[in-house]
Amino acid sequence: MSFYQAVAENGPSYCQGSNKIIQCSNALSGLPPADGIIFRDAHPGNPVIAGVRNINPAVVNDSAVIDHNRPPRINPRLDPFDEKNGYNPSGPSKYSDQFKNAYFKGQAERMNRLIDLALERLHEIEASDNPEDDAPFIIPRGDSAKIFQLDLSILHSTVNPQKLLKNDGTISTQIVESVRVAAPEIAELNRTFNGGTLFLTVRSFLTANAVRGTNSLDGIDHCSSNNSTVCAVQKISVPVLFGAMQGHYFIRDNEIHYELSASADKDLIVIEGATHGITPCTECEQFPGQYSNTVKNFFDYVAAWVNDRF
Amino acid sequence: MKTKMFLAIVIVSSLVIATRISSSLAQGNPVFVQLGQAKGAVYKPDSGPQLQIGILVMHRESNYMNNIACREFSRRGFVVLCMNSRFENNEALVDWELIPLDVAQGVNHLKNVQKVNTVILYGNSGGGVTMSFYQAVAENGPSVCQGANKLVQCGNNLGGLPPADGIILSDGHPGNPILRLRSVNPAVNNEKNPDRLNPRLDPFDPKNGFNPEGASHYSDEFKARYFKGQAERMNRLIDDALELLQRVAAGKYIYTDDAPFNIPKFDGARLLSLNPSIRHTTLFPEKLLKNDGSIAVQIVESLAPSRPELAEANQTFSEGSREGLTVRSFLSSNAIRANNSMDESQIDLCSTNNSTPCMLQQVSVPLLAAANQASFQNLIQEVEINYLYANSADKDFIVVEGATTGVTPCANCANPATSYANVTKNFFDYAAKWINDRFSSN
Repeated sequence: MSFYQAVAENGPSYCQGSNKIIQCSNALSGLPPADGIIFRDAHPGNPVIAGVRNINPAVVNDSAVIDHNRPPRINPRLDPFDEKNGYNPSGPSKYSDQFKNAYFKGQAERMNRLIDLALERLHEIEASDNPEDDAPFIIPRGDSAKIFQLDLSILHSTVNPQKLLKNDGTISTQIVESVRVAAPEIAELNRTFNGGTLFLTVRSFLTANAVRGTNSLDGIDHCSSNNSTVCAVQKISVPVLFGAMQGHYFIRDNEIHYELSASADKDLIVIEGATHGITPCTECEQFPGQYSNTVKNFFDYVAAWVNDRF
Repeated sequence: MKTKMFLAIVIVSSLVIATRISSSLAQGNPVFVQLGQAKGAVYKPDSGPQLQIGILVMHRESNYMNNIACREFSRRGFVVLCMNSRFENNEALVDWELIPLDVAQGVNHLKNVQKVNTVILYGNSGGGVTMSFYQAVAENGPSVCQGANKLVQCGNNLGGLPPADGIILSDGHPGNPILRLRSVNPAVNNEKNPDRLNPRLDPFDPKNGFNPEGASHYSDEFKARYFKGQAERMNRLIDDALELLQRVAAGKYIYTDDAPFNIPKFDGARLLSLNPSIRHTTLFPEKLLKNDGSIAVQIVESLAPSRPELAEANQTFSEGSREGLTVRSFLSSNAIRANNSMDESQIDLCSTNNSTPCMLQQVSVPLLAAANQASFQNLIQEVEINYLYANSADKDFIVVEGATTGVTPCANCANPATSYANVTKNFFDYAAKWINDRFSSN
């Protein structure tokens, strides 16, 4: 929605330019803008959440994997599932700051290597007899390596006091901590095809899964991709509501979207104990029913926000 | 294959359309329904009495929630549930042996929520084998899709599915694996080097008979070699896939569950779409539903134009490789054992569960098989063969003059599309009458 609205308000120039991995065409001219946007636990964009923060940076031989179907070679110093690095198969992991910094840098470096490989393939396709064609682009250990699912100290809270919509319907303003639980099972998923592999094509990788950066946490060139909430909210003027879910890991990302939003009328609310899908996070509860009203609370709040404005 | 008597006399009869279409039956607001992991849209007349007959429309992965059958059947007084399976728009995700579970959700919805007492399965193109598979399992249980001869066996979770009361196959092809068997380029003899072609088997080499401007003409020797070569390449691919799957299962591969299985030049090398001498007519005199609504019985000639553009498509990833498969989706929904691609007696029809001629041998309810004369894949004889294999005591076969696979008038045939302006009306009128004649008193 943020991409749409940014293009509708600004025209195709928003998604064109030499900084873009893939540029949009002028076919996106004259789109009718909407009057407001509700972001429900929106993430920063697929290239960030399913891409640069998701890939396992320990893989060092992508060219051999993609070109010659070689097995991934793992750098043990960057292996998030090695207990020597802080992985805990039974609960929350604890990585050192040194490991985390190396990991975030390594994720960005692997993403940049993959982008270069994909662009090389794209240029080959465009120079072929079928310039509109595509090619497989399969990235093993490209999924299920988000270390903030393992180490709950990463992206754990808002930076500033923000509104928390509590289960009883009241709102308090505070630093909001995520109540999510660790997911050590992603170690197994990362090795699979269905759960750990980005099964993409060259074009789908570049257009919806790739973003340039120097650090996956805070060194991302968000506008290098057009699939970026962070980039788009800076070009949107209509009223926006950001609803973050406390039982998930996008609280800080939503706060960033809110902070960067260019809308004069903007709001951020965190829903206590809600999952990404708005339902109660029962595994986060300290007692049964602690977060039983998440769905009602969220939609009541949204409906009031809409009615108050429109 | 069963035989039938040759009928030399051309019979022309008028179609009596029992079902009148009126604007009062128009469907105004299809209703979305979630059906387990599948989903659907219910189309029915906006007003009127409780309807007794429901029609279920689905394909293994294509979006059929707005298929032409949804509105055409609802206009004719039926409840129509148009579904998308859990694999919508994702061929690489297809686990064919789970498809009946989605169809069952639809049958149960029609019976239990829409309260109809008769359910007709409607399969267009690849929806035909979807419905044939479902009905065969529903009538006979999971043993239909189990056994040592199967590349992939179904599970016992397919037990106890509710059978439907009839099936309509609209240009329903023989199944995805047989289509692939007849579309794979046999000139590739080394999967690790798919650009190196055996020139004796290259279908797009003018020396072999290819015509880039129109209809190709291949020699009988080439065709015989080609059809054998297609089966041989398919068998090699199956062996490669099974070996790879074993390595995956044994933990000796990159992945632990499935694996990419990209097959260059896997589609588009369909000789019967290039050379009009191959299966370009029905085997026997059959009913042709003509544009004026009359029916003639004759050997019916396909109107499908030759497709020399397949030469280019075969080289692409998006069409020639079908955008990439996995080992499991290949074996489950794209592979079949054979010794010759064009001779049913040399195809192990039941080595896959995605096989219309296999499954129809296990179906007893009434069957209407309709072939579309301008089907882009030149399917008329293949649909006829499905019909001939069918075990149903009550079965009917008809070819719709000038119709595309999508049941619209052919716009690139020799005659202008206006020559076939009535194909949609003619087919759905015929199908509605076929249903009402059998089930309206239920």
